[in-house]
Amino acid sequence: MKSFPKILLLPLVVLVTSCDVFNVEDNEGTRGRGAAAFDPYSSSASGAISLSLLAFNGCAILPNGEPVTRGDLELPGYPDQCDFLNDGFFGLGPARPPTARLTVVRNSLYFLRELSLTDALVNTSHMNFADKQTPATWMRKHSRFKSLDWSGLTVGRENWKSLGYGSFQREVFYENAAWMVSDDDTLKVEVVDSAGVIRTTQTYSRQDFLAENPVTGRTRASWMTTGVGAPRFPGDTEPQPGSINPPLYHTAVKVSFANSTNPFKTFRIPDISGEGVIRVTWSLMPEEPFLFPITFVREQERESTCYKLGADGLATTEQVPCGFGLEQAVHLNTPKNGKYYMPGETMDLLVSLRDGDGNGLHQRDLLPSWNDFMGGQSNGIGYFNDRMLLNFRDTSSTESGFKVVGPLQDLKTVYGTYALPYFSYPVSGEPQFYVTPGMPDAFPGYAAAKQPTRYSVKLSDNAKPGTYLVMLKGHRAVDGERLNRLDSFFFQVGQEQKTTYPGQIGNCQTCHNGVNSLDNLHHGLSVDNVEACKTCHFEPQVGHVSDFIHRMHMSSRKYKQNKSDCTLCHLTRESAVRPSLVACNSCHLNSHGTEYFDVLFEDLQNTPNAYGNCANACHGVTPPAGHILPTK
Amino acid sequence: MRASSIFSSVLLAAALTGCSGELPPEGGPSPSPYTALPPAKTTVSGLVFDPEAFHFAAATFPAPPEESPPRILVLGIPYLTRAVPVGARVSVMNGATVADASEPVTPGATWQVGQGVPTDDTIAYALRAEAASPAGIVIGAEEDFPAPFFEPMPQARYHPTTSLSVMRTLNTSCVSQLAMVVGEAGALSALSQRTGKSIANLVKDGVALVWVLAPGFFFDFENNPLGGVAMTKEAGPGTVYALDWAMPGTVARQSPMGFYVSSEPVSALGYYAVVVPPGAASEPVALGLTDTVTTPEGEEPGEMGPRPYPLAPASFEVRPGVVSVLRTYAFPSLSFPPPPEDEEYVPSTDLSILCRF
Repeated sequence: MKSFPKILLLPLVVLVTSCDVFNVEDNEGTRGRGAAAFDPYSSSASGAISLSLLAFNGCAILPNGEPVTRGDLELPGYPDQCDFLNDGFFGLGPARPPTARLTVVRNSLYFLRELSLTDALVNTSHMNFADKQTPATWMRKHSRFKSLDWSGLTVGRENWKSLGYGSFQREVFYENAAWMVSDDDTLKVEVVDSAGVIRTTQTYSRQDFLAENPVTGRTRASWMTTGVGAPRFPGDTEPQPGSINPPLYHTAVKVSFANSTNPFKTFRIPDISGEGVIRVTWSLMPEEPFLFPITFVREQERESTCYKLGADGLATTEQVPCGFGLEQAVHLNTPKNGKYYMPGETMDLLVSLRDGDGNGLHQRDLLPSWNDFMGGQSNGIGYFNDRMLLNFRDTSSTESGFKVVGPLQDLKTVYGTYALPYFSYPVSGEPQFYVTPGMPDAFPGYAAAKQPTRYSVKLSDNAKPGTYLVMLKGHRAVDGERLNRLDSFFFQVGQEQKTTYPGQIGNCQTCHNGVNSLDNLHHGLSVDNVEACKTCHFEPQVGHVSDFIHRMHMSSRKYKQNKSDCTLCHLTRESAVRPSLVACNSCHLNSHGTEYFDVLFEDLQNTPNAYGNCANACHGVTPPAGHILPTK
Repeated sequence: MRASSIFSSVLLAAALTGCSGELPPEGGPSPSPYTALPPAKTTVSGLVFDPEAFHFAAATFPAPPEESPPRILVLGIPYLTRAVPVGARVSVMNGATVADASEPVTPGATWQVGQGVPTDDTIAYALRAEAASPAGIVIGAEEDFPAPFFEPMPQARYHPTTSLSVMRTLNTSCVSQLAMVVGEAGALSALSQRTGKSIANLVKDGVALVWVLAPGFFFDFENNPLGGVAMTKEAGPGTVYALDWAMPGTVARQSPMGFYVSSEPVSALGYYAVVVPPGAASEPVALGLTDTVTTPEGEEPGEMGPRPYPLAPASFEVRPGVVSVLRTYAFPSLSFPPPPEDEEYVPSTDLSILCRF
């Protein structure tokens, strides 16, 4: 008898799986494109909570930058007094006892998602603009990381970032130290109770983390000068006047690993009360473990500070305990014609942030204030803290806000102009923040003001028809979990017929799938919307896509693809043949040597500048032979 | 093609067709992303202070001027801390109607209305501050600024005070709004002594207080009175009085805080009052303002340029039953070159959340 053709089993398989082949949700109901529990990571629904551990100048800190107290614990090696990075970037105040608490939930499974440790000198030392040696000496011999193997250290890239109006931030990176390129080191995580008993242990390897690249702001050793003018010539040793005189100096070593590639490697917080410590021992610094004092809390005993949602999906006045996670929703006001907005019409949107259990994180009409955020009273909602950016050199970014752009088919990369070929609100690169950075310090009463959930955006009179996009950028940190989300919502302008992105770049999911899904990385933007990245990232202050995306991948040892092969990500030839100093220098560090030096420092809006398509005749018409390009 | 392949394909297609009921119908309507939202409201928040107490605190600060903090409405500046009217409530007014109100103010100086006011930039909202309860208002932050090192701040009864600076809901959030409240220890006492009218009648009939302030860099948060600006009534009811200040107990007919009606027509302090006769408050008062000071030739002008500074005239209704307060700024006398013709477009900073610029 002939054997039963196995191919006939295929339709049986389909039937048995209850026709789930096209369902992009897994049976836990988690959102996203994959079927695995961590694609995307969904907090409690994923079965384990991501844990972020941060430290600044020897003290554990919360994601809002506040240092953590050891409470009543005897904790040799943990300071009684801490530097407060929120004191400012012009200098830190005197060290003083911390008061914030890092809480973790008893009997919960966690996995380590981020370990970021910064040791920094803020505007106190290394103020000789010409001296690149002394900062490196401090790092190697005096910093908290002096016991690392610094052999092989070299002065690497010198990055000049425009702050606008002729002022810059110069950052000198020190690279290639043995500890930076190590790949087999480990992090042992121990949860210790107040009696000093180790209750649970888990060991992670360096390779368990996707992001460690200084381009992404992870592990870095750098010396930064902020507020200087453009150099007169390459290697200019005199700081030119910029926006801050004298300029600010910042030296830091940041050890940072993030984005777990193995979230199944978990550990369970013991079911005990009181205080304890998470001790992380790095194999490269075995005698100097990092200490993170914790307070064990019971999930059932969380205070009722969240809000039950009503049938309309908005917060009622009934308060309930908060869960982990961050889900974002936006309600758009019905357009006048009931179907789509018209050019010139004002679109109203109402933001609703929830935890992963569907509880509202804020009142219906109000978001927490900046003071609420800094005081740990915001149900974990985070806002842009520029001190975390500048003092801690944070990359996970606590910012939150929204942006409206469209139509999707017109979202093209812009080079060196604010005259965008598409509608954008705001026009500048950054989103409309719920709490605008800088304003809590500058504007009286702003820090205490609860911000609205309702926003009005007037579409331009010449807004083109098609599908438009509202992006909500969110950040939440609670009980050790630290989350970023960048969610997309769509609406129509001028027509009912939907349109879509230009289809110029993509394929990110080739590598960024499963636990490494883009939803789990950095801002948490789904791969479906990668063509929206450029709507923020066209300004030097936040980085241009043609710069950092290339640099990130080219300098990553995890990116195994042929670096000359542009076709993996570039779907069209047009998107891959647009040479500029910025684009070319992203891979070829100094593509033109000292030629066109002054152009590198021209403001974004002025032509010629580093974004210009000045090399079209040289490298556009006849692309470099070494680049493998899409054929059309 | 093998028979099994054909057969399996047919079966597979059949199986998948059976699943198609779970797929969204092609070309069919998608769920509407729209909701009928209620009419928009604007959150309103800011600071409240007693401008006379602010001046008193600054003028009596126990340090030389060059070592003293700047006169700026920023939390942490001691003059502001001492000028916080603890126990005041701020209301956002649409005419005579309260659109929304805050809880009583604490020593933190900040306030925010409870629900928000209707978003409509055609409405000229005004801020009114008054005691939230019969317990009144406490001023001076005595615990943090004790005598004798700091001059004790006279306590007094406070009257409902309306700011004459218009607030327009240019955004769904109006931040850093400046509300003011005035008590009987300042100009009201001095005016009462000068006019013979009781303070109660002054307020009942209508009285406006006008601060003329020096130009500054930081919007309307700098609070430096500008003396030497003449204020004249161009039209409407009322009498203009120039006010001045000296240490309490040094000049005749001073208020407890040290304010008095000047014998000169031009206030050396930059502070004026308009007292309106009974029944006349509904007519607008038009005021002209002229800087009478000229920077001597050869003297280095300040950052805002040489004096005389230009000033805009003022016109407002002096409402009966409340104290009306106006803070008006002189303009810099600097001249700025026009932007180059070929300047490239850079998006401007959105200041609509200040709801007044």
